[in-house]
Amino acid sequence: MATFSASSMWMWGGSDAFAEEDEDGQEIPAEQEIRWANKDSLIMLIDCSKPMFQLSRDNDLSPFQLSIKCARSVLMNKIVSSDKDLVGIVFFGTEKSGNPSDFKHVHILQELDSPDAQRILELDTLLADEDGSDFADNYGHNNDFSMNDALWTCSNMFSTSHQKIGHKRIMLFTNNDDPHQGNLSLKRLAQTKAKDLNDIGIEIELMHIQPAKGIFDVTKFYQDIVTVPEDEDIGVVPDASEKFDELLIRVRAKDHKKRSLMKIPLTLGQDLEVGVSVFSLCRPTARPSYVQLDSKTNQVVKTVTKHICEDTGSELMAADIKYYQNFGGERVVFEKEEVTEVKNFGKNGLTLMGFKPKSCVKRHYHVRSSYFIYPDETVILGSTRLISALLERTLERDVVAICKFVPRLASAPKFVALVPQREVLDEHKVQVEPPGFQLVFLPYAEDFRQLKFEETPAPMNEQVDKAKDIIKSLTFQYNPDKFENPALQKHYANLEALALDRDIPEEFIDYTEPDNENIDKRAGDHINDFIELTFPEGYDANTAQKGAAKRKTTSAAGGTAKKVKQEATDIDFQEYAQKGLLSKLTVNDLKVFCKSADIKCQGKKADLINAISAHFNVN
Amino acid sequence: MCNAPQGHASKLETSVNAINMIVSRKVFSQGHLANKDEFALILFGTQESDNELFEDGQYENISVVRPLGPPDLNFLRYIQTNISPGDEDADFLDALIVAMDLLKKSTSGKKFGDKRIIFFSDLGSPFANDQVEAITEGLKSLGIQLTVIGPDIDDDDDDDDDDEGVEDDRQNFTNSDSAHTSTSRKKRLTFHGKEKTPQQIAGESTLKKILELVDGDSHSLRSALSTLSFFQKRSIKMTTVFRGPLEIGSKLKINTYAYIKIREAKPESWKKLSAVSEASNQPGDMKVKIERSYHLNDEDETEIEKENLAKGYKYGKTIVPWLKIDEESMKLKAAKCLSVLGFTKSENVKRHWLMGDGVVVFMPSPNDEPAAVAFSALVQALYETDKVAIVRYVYRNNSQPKLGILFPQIKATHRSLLFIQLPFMEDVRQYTFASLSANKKNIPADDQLDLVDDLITSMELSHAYRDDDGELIEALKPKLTFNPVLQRSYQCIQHRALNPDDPLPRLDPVITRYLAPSQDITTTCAPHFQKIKDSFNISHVQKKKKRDDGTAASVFKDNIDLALDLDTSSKRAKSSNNDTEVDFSISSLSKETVAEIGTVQPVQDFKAMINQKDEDRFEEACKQMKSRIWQLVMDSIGSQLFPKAMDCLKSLREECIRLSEPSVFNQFLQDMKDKLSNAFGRDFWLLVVEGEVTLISAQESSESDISVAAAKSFLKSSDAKTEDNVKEVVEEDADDLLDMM
Repeated sequence: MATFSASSMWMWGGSDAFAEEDEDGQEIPAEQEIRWANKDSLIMLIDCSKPMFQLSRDNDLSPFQLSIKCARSVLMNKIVSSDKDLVGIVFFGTEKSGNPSDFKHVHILQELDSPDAQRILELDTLLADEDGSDFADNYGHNNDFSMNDALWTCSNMFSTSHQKIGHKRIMLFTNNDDPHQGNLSLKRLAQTKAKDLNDIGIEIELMHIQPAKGIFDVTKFYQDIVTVPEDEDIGVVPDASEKFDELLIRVRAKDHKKRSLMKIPLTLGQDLEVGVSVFSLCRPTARPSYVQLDSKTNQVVKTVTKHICEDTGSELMAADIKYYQNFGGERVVFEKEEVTEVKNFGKNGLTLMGFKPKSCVKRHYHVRSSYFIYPDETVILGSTRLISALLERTLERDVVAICKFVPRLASAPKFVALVPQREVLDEHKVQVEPPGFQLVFLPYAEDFRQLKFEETPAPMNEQVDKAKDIIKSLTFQYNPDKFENPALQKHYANLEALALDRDIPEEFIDYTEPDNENIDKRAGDHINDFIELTFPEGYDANTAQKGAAKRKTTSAAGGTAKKVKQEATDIDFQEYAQKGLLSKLTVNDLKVFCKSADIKCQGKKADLINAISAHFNVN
Repeated sequence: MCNAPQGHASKLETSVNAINMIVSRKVFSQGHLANKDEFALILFGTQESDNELFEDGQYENISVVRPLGPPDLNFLRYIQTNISPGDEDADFLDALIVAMDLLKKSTSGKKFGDKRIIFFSDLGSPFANDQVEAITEGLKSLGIQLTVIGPDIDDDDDDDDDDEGVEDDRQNFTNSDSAHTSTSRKKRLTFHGKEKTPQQIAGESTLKKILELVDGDSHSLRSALSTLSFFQKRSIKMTTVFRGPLEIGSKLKINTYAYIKIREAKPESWKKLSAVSEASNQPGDMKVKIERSYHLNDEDETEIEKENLAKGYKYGKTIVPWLKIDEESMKLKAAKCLSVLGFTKSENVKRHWLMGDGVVVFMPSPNDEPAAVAFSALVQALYETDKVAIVRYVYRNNSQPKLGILFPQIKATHRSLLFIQLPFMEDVRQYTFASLSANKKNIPADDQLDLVDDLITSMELSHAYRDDDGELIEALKPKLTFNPVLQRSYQCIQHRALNPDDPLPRLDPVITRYLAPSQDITTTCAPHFQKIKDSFNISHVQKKKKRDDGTAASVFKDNIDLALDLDTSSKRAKSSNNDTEVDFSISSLSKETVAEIGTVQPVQDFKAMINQKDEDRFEEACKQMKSRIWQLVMDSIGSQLFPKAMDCLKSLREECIRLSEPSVFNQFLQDMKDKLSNAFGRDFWLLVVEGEVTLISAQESSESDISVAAAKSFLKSSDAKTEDNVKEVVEEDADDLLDMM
């Protein structure tokens, strides 16, 4: 009874965003982009005082330019992944003032709105101004700003927005750890304002950049300004960034509100449930599809879909439609409710089935992107502590929890492995792996294809060693951050050019293209050695591939498989064997020779070589 | 063959089940082009004798009941209903010959990849031994494979159980392009542990001899049934998804073929059927077609003809209209390739980065020996150094490039590289999650950790499942765990096809069994659960007061609340309104969270709830507000509570505009209009009309698709029967509005 009443509380948790099935009740591809109904809003508040324009250390960009570059990246990222979110940009420490309350030295560059082409262009202009001279002319610098005013301006921008706003966040970019040095009243004002903002749910994130001299000291001023949301508290403040990449990682971690796909119960056993939130941390961002426009006005049109009965021509309501499948040449008809019933396997949530060693979950058990599980304390008290204990012990014992996973009511059950993950911070105290469980989907028996392969030959040790040399000289530290999706980049580069009436789209680098020049330089010698060891002279991959296809088709067409092609060869096998070059010959040649020399041997090339070597007493 | 202890299926019934499963697999996979399998069914031991070889005394009691052909529903119906035990004996070798003869005659001139006889019998009846040689010669020359199911002929040599073994096993039933089943109706059995008769022992030795000579295989009924207890489609034909070289640098090219190894099997899609046509006197094809129309977002929802449509892409708020010519330039031109970008330590590629819908396996091109050697060397080297390759993969020209991992897999007979897609920068969300130790009270104590330890030990699955041989093996192995949704839909479709008037069948117990933790585990672990629950103090957050969802109980209860409130609320009505306007500061709200909209200060509660910062409760708040409005209207004595209801309605409207959710309000107003046509609530509706509480128009909220005129006429039209003066008021207002525009 207890479990029943509890389950009704989870109903709201299954967000519609987890739309796994379309209206026909068909499962759509597992990985589709999830867009949120709520609009997030983000204001980037950028310090424009002089120090922000001074080149520091070995950077070729000023802290201000780093900030603008991040802002541009945020705008682009929003366009690509959630173009309804609102973004604003506010300068402070400028000579110029531009805001509704006429605060001095606070300038609203971009009001809170969805990003568009013009806004990107504006930032590009700022970036093009390398020495900051245009900026000095257009906006100027002035240190007599009040942080209070700057924060107030942001707060007003949130509250006067006409759109329904979900999450509100300010990112503050600065390299000055004590802007109101010696002015206690300004300090107090700013701290009070920051607290007010916090009270009405506006988060303030500090994106601090290392100053030219010394270390950014958060305790001087900003520790009373920034707010760490309870659900993101990792107990330490990250270091100030120096490099663009470092800053960008921090910005990217905060530019979207963290939202769970659903909150569901994890049932460990009879009468024992804890609450968990499910997140999707890795999912494909698809190239967007087009929208339909009225060609006269370029307005977006909406599409209305009707179901029509072909026999009677009448429009069909949902109740007028039944569903069928073809089976044995006949239609087997079901009511809509029955179709739902067929897929209904009970209430949603995770059900613990048991534990297995981590090694049971093989890497190739992969059918779709995994989710991430984090305890949720809002429905069941004690969830965090129990999940925490589970995490600790499963890590310690190197086991995973096998669960049945029903994401929503009446959706298909899957078996999943909860793989424990320890929290990891990088050297700058930025969290790179959160604590929790990765939810890995396991395949079903039906998902494995039945494949039969020919035997592959065993390689010789020297070949393997050469391959190791190649691998060693081409080893790098993989990280997904390094690769942008070239198809998306191309799409948006072209769109941007069209939106801004540029003739030529901006160039972008396709980082997924192999850098063959570099590869040849680093591993060329090993590769040449490997080729020499493995491929016969005159071998051409292209013709070999065609040959393989051709031979395959001829044998499939009913011809007897050619086993050994008889060809007159005048290779001096003894010489090859003595020089250890037998591996350069084709298997065909080796087989022909074996036959002619009456050497009893079959199978792999290595075996043939060994046999021939033995024949000539070479070893 | 047809006797069995009480409560057990006879061998005949079990055989029929097995045949049913084999045939229905074929029927389920008929959608596939590759599948043109044909079946025939021969029974022996029948009363009748119906076969081409039958001549007095020869080949008696053997009936070809279904000639060779593609299996259909009638075939299944026959299996289900028409096979009944007979009393006659028939020579099983005769039956084999009839089967061979049938296959020979029916397949001559046609092309079949594979011919097979699946022979079901307990070998209980006498037979003549003189034809063994003819049979083996015949099977060999015709290329017919023989599978025997039933007798327990020494279970010696079918132990090919490596990791893939189970699948291979299954193929014995599914691989043939033409199959041929026969079954016997004889008595005497060993199925339920009875001793074999001398007759059976003799039969077995003869059959064993034949099997050895023709390299056939045999299975006990029990093992056959356990492999057949799940519906399975015929294996999908092995086709390549890529053929091309694996490239490392500009010189090294290793030719490969790629195949899909793992991909989620989805149920067949449901097709729509028009129930209108079905119910009519002359149902036609009953097809349902989809018609799309395109409309402008204006007051009349002007339809736009298809030829006047253009495409556009969104760049943030900017919409870029698209000419056809541009389309191609948008797409990345990528040549088909599989190129190594570099290698990295296996552990550098985190499990949770794996993306995409499955696994692709790369093998060296067949008949390209040097490529095979190079490929093997690379796989071996990766394996020994525990490294993986990061590759760019374009499976055909101009498809979108994918980034992926290639990792080695080494099996007894072959080496392969497995490919799984990896994310691009855009695909990874780097959220920060609070440390679990951030709050001291969440750190588990040592004794609590011990409890969890005990639980893990007692719920260990690697030796939790007892297999057919009584050995404890890993439970829920993916390769042996069937998709319940697929199994269930096969079960339902087959059941409905054969019994159109029945309700859906119960979920097959073989499925139910693995969908919940085993009884053993639940029993042994029950005390652990209780201990953990107590020690960790697991408890549900006190449920908030039940929301008003219109159930009789809640309405009744609220009525009491309301009655109690009434005297105070009338006094406070004014002041509470003032509160909302004057004293409504955001900070005062954030101090307390409002769980529910009461009847005392509904407007204030509503606003407080909406502005709650920690979570979005807009929907919940609106839902409650709506039911509060209904309640106020319905409970009002005379028009006593109408002003309050009106305030609520207006505030709902306000908030819906502010938060760009006009549809919530518009839907509600429509609802109200529909329901308040009765005399009871009508007075309130008149107030709405009078107060000019219109639908939210597009002018007020960009999200609305209601024109100003439509918003206003909505009120007007509702009042066709209203007194004239109200009508006038509305029209006047409308004019004013038009003037303003």
